Amino acid sequence: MLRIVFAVLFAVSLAAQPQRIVLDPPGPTSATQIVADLYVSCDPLSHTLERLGNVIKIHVTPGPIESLCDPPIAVRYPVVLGTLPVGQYRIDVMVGERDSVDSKTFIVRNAAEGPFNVHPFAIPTHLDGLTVRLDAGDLVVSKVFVDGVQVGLTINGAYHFRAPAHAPGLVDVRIETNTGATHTLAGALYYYDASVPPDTSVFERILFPVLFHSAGAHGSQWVSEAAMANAAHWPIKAYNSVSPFECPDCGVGQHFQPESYIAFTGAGYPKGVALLVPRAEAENLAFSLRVRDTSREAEGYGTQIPVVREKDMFRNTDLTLLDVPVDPLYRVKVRIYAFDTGDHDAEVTVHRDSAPNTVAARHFVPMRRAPCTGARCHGAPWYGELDLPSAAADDRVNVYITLGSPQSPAWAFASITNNETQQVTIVTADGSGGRP
Amino acid sequence: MKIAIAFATLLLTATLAGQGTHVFPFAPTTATPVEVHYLSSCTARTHEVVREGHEITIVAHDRQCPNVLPIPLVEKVKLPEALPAGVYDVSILQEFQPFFLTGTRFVVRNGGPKPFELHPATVYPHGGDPVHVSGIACEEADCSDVTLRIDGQPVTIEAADGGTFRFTAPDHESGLVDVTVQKQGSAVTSPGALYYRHSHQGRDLSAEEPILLPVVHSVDGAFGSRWESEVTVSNPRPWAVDADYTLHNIGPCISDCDPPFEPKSFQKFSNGYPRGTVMWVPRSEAAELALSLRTRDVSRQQQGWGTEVPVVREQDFIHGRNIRLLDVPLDPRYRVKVRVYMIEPLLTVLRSGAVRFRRGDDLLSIPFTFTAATNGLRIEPFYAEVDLPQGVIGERLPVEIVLPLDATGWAFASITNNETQQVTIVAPN
Repeated sequence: MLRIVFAVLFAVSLAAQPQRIVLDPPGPTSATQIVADLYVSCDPLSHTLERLGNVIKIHVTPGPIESLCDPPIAVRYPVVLGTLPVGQYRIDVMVGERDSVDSKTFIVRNAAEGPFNVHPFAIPTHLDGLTVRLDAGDLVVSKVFVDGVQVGLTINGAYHFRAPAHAPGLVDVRIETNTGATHTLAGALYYYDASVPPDTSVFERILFPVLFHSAGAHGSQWVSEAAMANAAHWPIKAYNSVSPFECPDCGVGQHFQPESYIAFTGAGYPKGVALLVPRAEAENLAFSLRVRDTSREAEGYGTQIPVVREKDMFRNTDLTLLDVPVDPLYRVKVRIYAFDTGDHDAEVTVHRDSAPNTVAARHFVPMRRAPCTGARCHGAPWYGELDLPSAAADDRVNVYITLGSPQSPAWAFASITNNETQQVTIVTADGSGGRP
Repeated sequence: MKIAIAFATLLLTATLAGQGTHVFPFAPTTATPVEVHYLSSCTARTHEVVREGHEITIVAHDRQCPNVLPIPLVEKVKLPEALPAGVYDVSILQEFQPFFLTGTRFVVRNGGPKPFELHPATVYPHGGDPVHVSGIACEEADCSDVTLRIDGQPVTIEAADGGTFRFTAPDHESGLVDVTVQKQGSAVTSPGALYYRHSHQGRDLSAEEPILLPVVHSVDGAFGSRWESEVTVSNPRPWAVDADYTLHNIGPCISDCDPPFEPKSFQKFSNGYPRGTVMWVPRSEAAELALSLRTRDVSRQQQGWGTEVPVVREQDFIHGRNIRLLDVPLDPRYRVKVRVYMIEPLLTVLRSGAVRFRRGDDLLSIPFTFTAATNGLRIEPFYAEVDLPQGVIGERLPVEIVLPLDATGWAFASITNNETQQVTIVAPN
């Protein structure tokens, strides 16, 4: 009976917190040890692990009744999966006697050094003319096969071919050289369907905290100025798009031409948006973002806002903003972002600089996702904001933020705007130590 | 021929000085693949990796060396298997010759889940370092319900704040040791949990994580400006963090020049390192320290709160490729300075880089040379700065910074309005 109660508790919390299985690293390769962090209520006792082909079954044994769940807070329970060969996998988690209570699929990319490599890794299933680059060192390539289908080859510094249409999933690429030798790269390409939710082991969320232009206080006119660059010699396709313009022949998703640079004025995302880019290519992309009051354009170049990669987001910890002024000279807004969560209230505590180990004020900030449909939802963070009340001149505070679910990748910053000059300073989250 | 001899001498010197070989990541774990980088003037067609226990030999086969002008290059060798926790010595050999090219020592820590955490997780062989244990709490006030063994030997423990307990690390020879905690009849062991570092080793990247504070100064600037930095360091944990830094050490210092960050403490610093400083923080504690850095023109402090300058953690450094700064103005209304930092170079004599950008069809390149720390200490990074030329109003472009061979670096551009002295930072992403 108790086990049933436990399982129900887990399932209830599951509904509120959709992401209960988190991979470490989030984009595993065949060379990385993989840990599955399970967020399970009430300190599990033990688990068993069974791998049946590409399905990994984890059976969690609940902890003793004494430690049961009041309230049912999810705790991190790491399970070592070890290294896995290239492939697409599914983890099924069972708690107690209940059947599968949560599942997650993920991709293990090929990290082996081979005689050739191809880029980009992620290809949309619909035909959009994405060109794949093949580097083969000293080998002279005569034929290329994508999942057994020969493709036309062009040579321009390296070998290039058009990705053929293919069903979603990993596919092998095989080459034949002028000597007749063949080489195969397992799981070289990953085809995805942009009309279904993205696999977050393939796509990384890169957060643009504000992309907007609007009128502000005291006659200010705020714009976000963003830039993106692709240093790779091959095109890169993102799952979604954050810029206002699209490549007309490139289908859905931000299209980065090889060695390209674009700058644009952001619009439509005052509460932030994540660009989902293939993890295999993310290192080749560079970003910048600035906000600027164009009504005072002559006074400055604006303020850089970080574009936040997943490695810069925080999990399993409170967020810390140090040294924030609450001087009446300024208006201060704290902006909070989280993914893989649900509607909830974030707890924000304010600690005065003069008594930093004591809570001076506590606020509960609604975290909500902006209305969205389809692919736009996958880039939309849960967002909350708080205007910090002013105190005395020169007063400063430290701000700590607790999100509703510890496993949510989260980030925050405070914007400090001078009421007279509209100069903006930001304070970004740092450190995983949490409250003192 | 003279150049060839000079480069061979350089390599030999580097080898003797312990340079010329790096392991990436700087602090590998059992969960991460390890890559060995070494400096060479020849390209090996293949590398053979042989591991016998904790000795790893990499044999360079079929090396192709230029006949006339040797050009330094970096050979990168991925180790074929994940390594178990331990201290490893890696040597690079040339095929058919017992000629030791180069080598290094590195530590692989346990990257899997841990039953408890040690703070710090690295101590000196002579013992005496206080270590806190978190993740397992004592039930009794005197912690008599818990026993702790270091490498099988029991040590005395005592209760500490925040649900932790602590012990004093006993003497032990260098290397990784297992730590076992027994409570209420059940024992859990964390393999290789405590690392006794090699005391003769000046730097140990497996033990400490670099955190760069790019500019910590108090100086007069142009147009009557007065620039001041403000660094805040918060240690929210109930144990002290003993970092290697000298922010306290602005003036004469005789003892306790860089005291530990006390439990639940906040400290502010404001001066001493206009070219940046690197704090070396024990890896087990680095993530939990919170830091902030702001620079401000205090002569106009009514106009704004200043500009946040990023605090650069190890994961933010850019390794082995160019740094890109996007959307940098060449507008004459601003003065633009690019500041470049480098830590742990593969070879300290390799210090040349360039700032490059394209204007129309012209690719412009402004060379720079890193200057070393004024006193040779690790707390000062290698530093260079370049003032960008002024263009036309509204002109903006991406800027690329070329670092020396296989360097680990970071850079930012400061854009200062000539009239208002407002500063905008453009940092890499």
